[in-house]
Amino acid sequence: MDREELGRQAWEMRAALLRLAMSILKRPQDAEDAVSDAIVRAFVRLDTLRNDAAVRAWLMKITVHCCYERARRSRRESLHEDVEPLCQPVWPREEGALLEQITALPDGEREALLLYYYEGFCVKDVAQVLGLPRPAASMRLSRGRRRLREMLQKEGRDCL
Amino acid sequence: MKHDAFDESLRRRAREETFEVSAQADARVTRAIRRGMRANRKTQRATWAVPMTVAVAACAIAAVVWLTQPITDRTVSIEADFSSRVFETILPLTNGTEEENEKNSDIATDASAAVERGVWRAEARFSNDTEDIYLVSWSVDGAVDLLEPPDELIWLEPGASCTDYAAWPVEGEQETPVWQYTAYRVTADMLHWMDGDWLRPGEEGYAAQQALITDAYENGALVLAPGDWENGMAGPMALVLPDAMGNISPLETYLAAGLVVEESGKTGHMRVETGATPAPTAVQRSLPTPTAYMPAGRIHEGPLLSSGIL
Repeated sequence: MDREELGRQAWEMRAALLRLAMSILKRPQDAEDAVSDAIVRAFVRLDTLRNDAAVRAWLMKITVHCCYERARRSRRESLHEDVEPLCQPVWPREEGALLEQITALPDGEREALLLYYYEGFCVKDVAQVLGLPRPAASMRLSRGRRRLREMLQKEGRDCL
Repeated sequence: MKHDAFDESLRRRAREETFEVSAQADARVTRAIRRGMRANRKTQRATWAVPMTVAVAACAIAAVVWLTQPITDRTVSIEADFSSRVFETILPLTNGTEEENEKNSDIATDASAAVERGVWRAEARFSNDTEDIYLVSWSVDGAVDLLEPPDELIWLEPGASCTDYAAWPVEGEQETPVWQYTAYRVTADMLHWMDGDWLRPGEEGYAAQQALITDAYENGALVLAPGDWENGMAGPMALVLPDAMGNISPLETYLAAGLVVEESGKTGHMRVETGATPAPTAVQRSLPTPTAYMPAGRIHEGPLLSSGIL
């Protein structure tokens, strides 16, 4: 894949990358930073992309990695920082979107469900992108899905 | 995962939802793409520039050497030129990549100690310039009644450095302290528990947590406990095993399973600093120990990038 094509892919995937980063980091500033880092890193590491067809999972994986790095840094810095609130970098156009419920799930489950339902990844791909053994990814998906169902039922919303 | 009507409805809803991106986020992505394009070109230039520069310089040196030799020596063969030191330097550069040339085989260490008001205060510094993740343990021979023990295991990602501290009372004669360290290379995938609290037997969710850890362990992953890993790339780190395995050493178990490999170690005298060691400042005291930093401009490649599809 050449650089121009990677640029096009990154641009087309920006909503998905920001959505994923927000699900992990929750703070707009951090999410935008992580996605920016991930895009630059993807260009630098372009020669490691072995299969052009896997560019989506590859970019997602780099984004997850950048998010985890930033999460660790933020935990350390959050006591000293006074961050100005920013507007959400990405938001659903529809009222009562599924994303709102997924956002309320615990860490780990949120990003697993996002990759599974929004990106259409299989369990194996979710595991690879999140850097988890497959059973661990499967467990997060099952737990998140169960919690999501309970959440929807509690709110009196139609699960189907 | 079971695919049922609920699952299908979630898929359908996710497919149907559309998203809007803020102008600010759009601008940042645009800037990142531009930066990426430039960074990539810069790297490509650097990759070629280093061997090209060395090759040109070497040719110039070779030409000067050749021209200054007596005329009778100018029939020297090409093979003889390639075996010279000049060409030995050039060839690996032209054959390799920038990354391979930077790669080192081991971590770098430095240890020093000083006596301060009847107490030995030591610091050990570890730098990981390799492409692998390392776990490091260190100790000081003969140090008893430690006032500040070294961390049991220190996690070191590629490109990270950290400093750990130890203190113990001076006993008898002030002999130069002898220290030792062992470095273990991490060869496995890992499950770093970042999902919340570490649950104890009887607490809600304990069984599910243990099931997840057991799954990970049985699938050949290193399980890392949550804890004081407050910085990005290095810090004290505990390994854990499923509770059902009983009270056995996680490190020895992971070593036996080949998930971590004992790679290197060293025993030696610490460098003794003369004069009083200044007390840590308030800022230093507030930092987590050890403290990691990333060399400026270095692109980090951690566990998620080093495995799987990347």
